[in-house]
Amino acid sequence: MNPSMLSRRDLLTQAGCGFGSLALTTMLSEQGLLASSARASSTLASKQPHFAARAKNVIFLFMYGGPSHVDLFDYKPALEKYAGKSVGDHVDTKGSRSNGGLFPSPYKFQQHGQSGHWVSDRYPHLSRVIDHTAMLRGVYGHSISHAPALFEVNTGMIRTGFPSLGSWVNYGLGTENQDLPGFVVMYDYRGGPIGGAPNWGAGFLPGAYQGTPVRSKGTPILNLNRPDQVGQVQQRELLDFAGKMNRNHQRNHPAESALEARIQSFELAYRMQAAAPGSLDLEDETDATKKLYGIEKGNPGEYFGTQCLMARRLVERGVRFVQLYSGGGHGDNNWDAHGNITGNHNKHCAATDQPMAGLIQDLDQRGLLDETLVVWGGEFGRTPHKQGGSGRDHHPFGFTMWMAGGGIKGGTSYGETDEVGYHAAVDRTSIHDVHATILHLMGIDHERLTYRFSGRDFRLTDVAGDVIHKVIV
Amino acid sequence: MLVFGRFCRVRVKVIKLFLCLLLFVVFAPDKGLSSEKVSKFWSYGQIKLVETPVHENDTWSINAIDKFVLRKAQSKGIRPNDKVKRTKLIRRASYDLIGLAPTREEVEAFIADESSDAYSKLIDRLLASPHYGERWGRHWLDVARFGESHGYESDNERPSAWTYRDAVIRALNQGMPFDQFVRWQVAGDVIKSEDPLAVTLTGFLTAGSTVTNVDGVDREKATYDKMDDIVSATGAAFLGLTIGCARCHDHKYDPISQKDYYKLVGFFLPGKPGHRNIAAGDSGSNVKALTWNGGNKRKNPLLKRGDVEQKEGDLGFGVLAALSEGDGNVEPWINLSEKKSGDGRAGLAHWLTDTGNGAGSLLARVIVNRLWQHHFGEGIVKTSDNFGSVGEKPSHPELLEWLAGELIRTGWNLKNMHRVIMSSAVYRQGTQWDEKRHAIDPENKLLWRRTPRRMEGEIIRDSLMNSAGTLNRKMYGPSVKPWVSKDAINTGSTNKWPVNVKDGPATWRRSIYVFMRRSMRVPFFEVFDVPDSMQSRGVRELTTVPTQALMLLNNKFVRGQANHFAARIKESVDVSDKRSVIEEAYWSALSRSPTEEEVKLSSELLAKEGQSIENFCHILFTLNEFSYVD
Repeated sequence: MNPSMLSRRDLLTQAGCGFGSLALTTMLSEQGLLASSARASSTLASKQPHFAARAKNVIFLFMYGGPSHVDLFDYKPALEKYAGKSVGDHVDTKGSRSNGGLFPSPYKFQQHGQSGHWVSDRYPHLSRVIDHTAMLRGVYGHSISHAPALFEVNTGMIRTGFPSLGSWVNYGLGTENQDLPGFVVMYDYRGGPIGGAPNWGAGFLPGAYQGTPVRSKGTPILNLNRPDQVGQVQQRELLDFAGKMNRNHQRNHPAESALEARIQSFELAYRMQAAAPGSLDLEDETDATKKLYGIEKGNPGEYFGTQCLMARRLVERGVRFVQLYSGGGHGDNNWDAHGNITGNHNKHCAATDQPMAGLIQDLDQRGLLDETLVVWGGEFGRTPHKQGGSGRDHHPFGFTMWMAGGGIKGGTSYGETDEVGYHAAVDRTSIHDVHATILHLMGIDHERLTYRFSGRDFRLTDVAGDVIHKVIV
Repeated sequence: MLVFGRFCRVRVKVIKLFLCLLLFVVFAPDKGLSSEKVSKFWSYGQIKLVETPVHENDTWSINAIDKFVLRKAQSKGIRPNDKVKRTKLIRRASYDLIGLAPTREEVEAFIADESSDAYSKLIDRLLASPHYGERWGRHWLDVARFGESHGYESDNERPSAWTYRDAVIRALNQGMPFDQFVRWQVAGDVIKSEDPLAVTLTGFLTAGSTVTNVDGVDREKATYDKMDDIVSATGAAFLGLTIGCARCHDHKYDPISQKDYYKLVGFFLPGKPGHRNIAAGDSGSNVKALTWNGGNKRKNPLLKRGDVEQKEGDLGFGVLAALSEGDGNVEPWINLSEKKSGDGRAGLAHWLTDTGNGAGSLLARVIVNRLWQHHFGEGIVKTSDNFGSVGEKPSHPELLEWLAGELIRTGWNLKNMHRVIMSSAVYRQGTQWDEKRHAIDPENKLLWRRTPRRMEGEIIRDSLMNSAGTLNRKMYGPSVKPWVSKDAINTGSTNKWPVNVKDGPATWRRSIYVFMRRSMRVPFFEVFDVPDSMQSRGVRELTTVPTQALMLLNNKFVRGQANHFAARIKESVDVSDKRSVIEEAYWSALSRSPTEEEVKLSSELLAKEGQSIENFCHILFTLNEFSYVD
């Protein structure tokens, strides 16, 4: 980045002085240079990328619990050949905690589209739009437990305390719509993912970059209407008064980014009153559109389809990053198929197939797919060998993610697992690589997006990460 | 850019080294801790006697705590902040101990009190307040994963679950020694079956979620899910151990085998949740309490890979091998117990609290760390639910040893520990920040300053009512279901919350008395990070999101409280005297007088067209200072 092109505010924020922007906004406001609402939005103001971006927004479809790569996208005929044979005879299983017999997929696989991507029969709808996707079949992670694996996929690190992908993106680019949160999370009605808010937290980044969860059932955002006794003008005056009080309070607490975040959250809330009601309301969507997403009474895709359609409406309005979770709570309420792979995956595939396909199709029809990156994945895959009666265990050593739209070259693939789907073997892809690629598509050089904390410059990709150019247009 | 590049390379090396260490800790070879390492691992051994450091020319320290803090700070060339002003100190102490702001009279009396023991009298008064048990009981209910419904799909209510909540509040208020508190949580019904409090505290075992509506093999799986809930909560709440990880395989990082796990299951497998008629509280009238019905020892197999269809052998019951002599045999502790129970839980209880050969040392470390966390915002061990090898190391290890030792020496007296902690200079310090010290210790690990603390959702709600003067201070009894908006209830599922509740005094009780339905948290709590009580949780996440702001700006209950607040002010002062109105409102909301600038800005606001005292009171609820205590 050419420093001369940076505004003073960019310099302060991007050089990563924790409260540089704060000091500046305070200074400017003292000089009366910033109007109150502009002052508050400065942290999330849209910023220039490092280079031309392919994708403006991201929709991350997170399959919580760990979807089985060998039953969905990573076809392994060798599992038939070796069925029941010990997995340890075929691959090095160091680090694994179970070693049952190899277990062929109960599902039928077929190649689809021009690309010839292999997809199992669980995804009839997705198969029809599969040429939009780039398959990453050699992804690997570092933890066999849900929480650290979730943290790794969401923050690049297996421990808590680090900023999530969505918050890094908002830190780097801001958001286009100042009247909605730049990072919205919708978790499953059966419960949030294990580990909770740190999965969409801002870590050590200023708190304003954290994800805002909307309610997973019923009315997505409550309290959007002002009390009867408070007019709009009056509410603005009240908030300006509160702003002054809070700024005075903050002078004694210059290091607390949470206080700054809270000031901004009130300004955003004020603007959301006008902007949010329409954004998540599906009433003006046609029946045809709803049907495309599988939103019909009694249809297994009704719930996730609603979430996907809301996500489209949000990115349409310039929300930078939307993350949806499929699966929540415990046991078979998410993709964690320990005991019975078909019992579990039949249900979750049916719940997501049409919604995902509908989302890709709908974005495409509206010309939004070019600028919207859709990412699919879980915190890990599942073992190619059996666990319990007919289930599969957690498996971080090799699994599949895919991306579509937003600069992705559809129909390509990158990475392979070994013969039985155990280890990522060819073009091994770390989560840092995945993150580097997402940032790259958004016009961000992952090595240059840094934030100074505790005496060090941190990155989303730590000290690693290679952009997967092979899947990019 | 060149300079930056060179800097990057150096930085990369530092981060790499850091990462290697991190990975090593997290992905240490499969074996976990070997037996020699166990005895050396910092949290497992007996409490070490530590010598209090001596400093020359030390004008800062007040008690032993400070000397440990000072040594660490001085080694980095830092001097911690001096004492905070009394107006702020009383607000801090009040919120910490009873979760309510001090009144104007209380603040003024404290400031005027020139006696040397003014502050210790304040602490004593707060510790004697019945609200102390409500404040600290809520902290305990988090780690006890307390809820009043089964959880999961059907989420049936448990109309008697509140009796456990009341027992916790009563026990804390009466200053029950913590070791007894713990023993009664796992075996009060056996140890002192005639004591209602003992029996009700055993409700700890039933406080978690339960899978219902299952048949056949799933029913057995549900039984073991319940066992897992109890064993996991017991491990996390008392010992800061993630025992639940050993359900399907030996613990990867800590010395907890799968055998250990199932031996613990053996204490609970013979029993089940059950009701008992007890004399409740002071009135002595009988109520139905939800507690635990133990049974006789029964066959207890290990489940290979946690699979109910792969049972192996009979383990009986027993305690963690790594924290006992021998192989986890609980017999020595059963002999100690008042009554030999069929399911051995009395032995488990005595093992948990035995500082000689049992888990008592770890228990003491974990609880003093929890106390510290709620007084300072962060524990000495930051991961207060994980004292295992994946948890964080203590920032002040010797201080933690000293505190744990002090707790045991003084008979596990929690109120005394509050007194010790709150008397220290480090607790009483101010929030002043400066660049120089920040550069040395940006995260304040050395405790050189007080960081302002965000109040929890329950406390914010209580404070709204307290400022408004509407808080119904009735204690104990069945939980209440306050008004929530129709939008929030209409979830498409069965009726989980009444639709036509009057938003009135009957429900304006402290938040600890609000019904904790697992699948239908009150939206106010939902947005303000109150946990869902599906598992034991000692550290709450604190998020700052616009949906919280919308709650405070627009929610009908919040606005209603602002109106009551205004009505109270109108009654107590002459409304034509704007300064009095402003003064009264500031005192009620923020426990202080407004500054001259604040009086001016507030008067200007009140003079604007369409503004009102109601609006003014309302906006005070939203201030950072209202939710953050210095």
